[in-house]
Amino acid sequence: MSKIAEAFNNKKAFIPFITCGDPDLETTKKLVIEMEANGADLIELGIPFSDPTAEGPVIQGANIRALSNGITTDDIFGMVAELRETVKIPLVFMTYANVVFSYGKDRFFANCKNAGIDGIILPDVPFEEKAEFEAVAMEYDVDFISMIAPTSKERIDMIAKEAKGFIYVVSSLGVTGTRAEINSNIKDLVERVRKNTDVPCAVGFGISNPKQAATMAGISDGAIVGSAIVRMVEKYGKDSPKEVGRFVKDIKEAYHAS
Amino acid sequence: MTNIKLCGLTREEDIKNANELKPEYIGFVFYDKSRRNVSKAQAKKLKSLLNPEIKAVGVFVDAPTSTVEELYTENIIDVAQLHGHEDEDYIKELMDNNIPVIKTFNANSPEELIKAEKSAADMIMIDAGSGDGVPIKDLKLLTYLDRPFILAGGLNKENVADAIEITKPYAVDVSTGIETDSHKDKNKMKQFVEAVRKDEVVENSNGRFGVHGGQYIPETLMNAVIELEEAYNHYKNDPEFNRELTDLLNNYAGRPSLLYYAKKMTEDLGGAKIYLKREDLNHTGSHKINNVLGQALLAKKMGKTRLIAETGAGQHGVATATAAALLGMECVVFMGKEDTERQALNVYRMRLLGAEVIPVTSGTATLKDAVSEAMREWTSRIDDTHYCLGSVMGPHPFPTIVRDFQAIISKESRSQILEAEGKLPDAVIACVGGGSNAIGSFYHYINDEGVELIGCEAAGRGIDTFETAATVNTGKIGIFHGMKSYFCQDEYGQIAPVYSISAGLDYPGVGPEHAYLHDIGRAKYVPVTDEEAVEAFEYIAKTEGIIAAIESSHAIAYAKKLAPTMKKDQIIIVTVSGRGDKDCAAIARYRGEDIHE
Repeated sequence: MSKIAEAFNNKKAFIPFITCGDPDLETTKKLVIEMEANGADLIELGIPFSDPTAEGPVIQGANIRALSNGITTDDIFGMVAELRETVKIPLVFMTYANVVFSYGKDRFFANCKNAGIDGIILPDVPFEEKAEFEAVAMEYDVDFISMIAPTSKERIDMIAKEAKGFIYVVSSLGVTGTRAEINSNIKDLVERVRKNTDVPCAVGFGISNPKQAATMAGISDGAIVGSAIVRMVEKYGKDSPKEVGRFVKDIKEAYHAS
Repeated sequence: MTNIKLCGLTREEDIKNANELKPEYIGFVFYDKSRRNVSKAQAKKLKSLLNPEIKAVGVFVDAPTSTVEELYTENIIDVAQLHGHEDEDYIKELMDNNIPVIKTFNANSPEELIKAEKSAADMIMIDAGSGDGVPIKDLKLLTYLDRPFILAGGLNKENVADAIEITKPYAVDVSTGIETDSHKDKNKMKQFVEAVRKDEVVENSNGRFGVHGGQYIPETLMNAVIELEEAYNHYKNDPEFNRELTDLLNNYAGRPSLLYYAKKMTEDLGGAKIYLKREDLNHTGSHKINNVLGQALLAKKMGKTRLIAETGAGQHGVATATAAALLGMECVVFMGKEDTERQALNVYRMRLLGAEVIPVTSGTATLKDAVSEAMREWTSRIDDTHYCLGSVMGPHPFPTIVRDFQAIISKESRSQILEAEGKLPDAVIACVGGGSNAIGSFYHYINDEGVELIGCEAAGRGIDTFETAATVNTGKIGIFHGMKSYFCQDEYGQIAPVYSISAGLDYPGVGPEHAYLHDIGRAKYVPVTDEEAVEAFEYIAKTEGIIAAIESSHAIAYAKKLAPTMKKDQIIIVTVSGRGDKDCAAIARYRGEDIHE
């Protein structure tokens, strides 16, 4: 079993997302440790990109703050290696194709393996283009995470059949960001995935509170929360780990209550 | 996708079989010397049984036009196919009555093919056979045809796949090849259709130009671009679509645009003869309208009611707002906030045309951010919305669609220069941002090896400074905005802020086909600075009385350098992609003069 699969083993997983280097790498480290301590099952670490076309204003802002701090991909590899001395849960990078491509795919995934990264999410690399990245990622035991969206329809079959780690189910149309309600029929999406694979499904995009997270995890295998946490990081800055830790704890409690 | 025409159907069971196989066209022969001849009454009955998605083509040999018109009016045929000695007047008479016309030509000589190319008919059919069921001859000649055509003559299930591979026709026509004992044979019909359809899997290349291009977009958009590609492949050679588009281009946008001999400029520079391809004279003042009319019409056919677009200088935004107004569609234009300030007049024009203009404040608040914002908007609203991308960039199929719609520039200029000078130009020069006017200006010369193709990039304050937008000259290969190509970026792949005096060239990437033409050495890309462009802006105004866009002035600037180094019997074509009224205030500011509009 891959390390990512373990995060879903006999439980509903909770997956928080943060952007590395927002407001600085020290805080990012503290956030990861705090989130693990409060029950996060897997953490998505964003490597900032100048033009994140799949993100709404909140995460765009985090990307800009991190980059204006001069954070680089190399700094982030260094931070992950340090975190790995204590952090046990799976860690997954989320970034854009050009960050990986320009770094050199081989060097990038080799560094992932050395630092202890378990998976990669590239929202601008769909099924048709994934081969050039996935082939290299596999060599270094990094799972290439596939996404499916409410518009995927018949594409779900081919995507699910080749999926590794977990499947990122995009809850709604549009970009990342909190939404008052999620209208898509997540159940149907998950059911169609189930017909093709046992790889777990985690739902993301638009989940803003513990109740929503528990609902989404209830109809899938886990929930991903990004913008709601990034907004807390924006608000509380260096003091955010405590606040975010409490939020993660609330979500896990909502999981158990439902 | 290759369309299919099953011709010479005579029996009700033939129609039943056709309904199952769903070819795009079937044919009724109205020619009493043919053994497949059908009467009007017979055809009427057969048509009533035909699936309405399949078009019925009436095949005629020198019949009176009234016969054709009668059958069309009574809805017995949807298209007329002419097999005799019908001349251009005959064809035009039918077309004036809105009857789609296919004219047949033989493939036996280059002269005949040239005639076919020039025919006014909506579609041409090339008969590559030499009689009933005789296998087709050498098909390579047909690759020189510069318009879509239907291939006919001796096709059967064994040879049709190869014939498609070699000639890439719009459609294939078959009659004898699907018969046994002079009757249509259900099995042969089925095998023929399968042989054509099977070939289509190979076609999907995801839009690669060498290593460049591709579809690097979120999963949410994948079905939207696939749907767009399918619709485009269906309509691009569809005679009715093309007739509507040609009508808009000619009677609304004012095409063909002039190829103007710039005599004073030529004499002043003392070298090569300079011709200007006057895209500035199009309606809305730039080449952008060529692409927009095509995409808006396509979007409308796809059932979309809303167009969104990005714009830099505002030319594409104005063109999109114009097409939306004309075709009764909703329109939203994303424009970098900085650009809304330096191109305030165009913002007003878009609003006047009924479009909503959204100033984009993210990132550098210029063209790249407008593209990002339009892409974000498209992911949130796909059902009723078409993203009318303005340049040969973004995910496949956009670079191909936009190029095809802009290729009319070189299609016209090539025949215009042959008419004027009896030979091809030595160089074609155009400015390059994303590269749509440049690819349009180059496209029909790509196979003419003697024609040098030169793209002029905006160097801003110089390619040795950070304030530049010369992507091919200073960028490196990367993945952004849906495509693999050259981008200005830092060592970690962060997209660099770029700069040019021209809002339309102020983009950190370049279309994937340009990246490919650069890689294979077929086109060269030269940097032109702000200062050179502004000088050219003033020069062409004073020399030829033409106020050219600051974007186009980059191309004129390079022509000024190149022409004196060439011989007097050599020819340069420079594309004036747009008019420069919109730039006057900014150029005045550049020269230290503040004018209030």
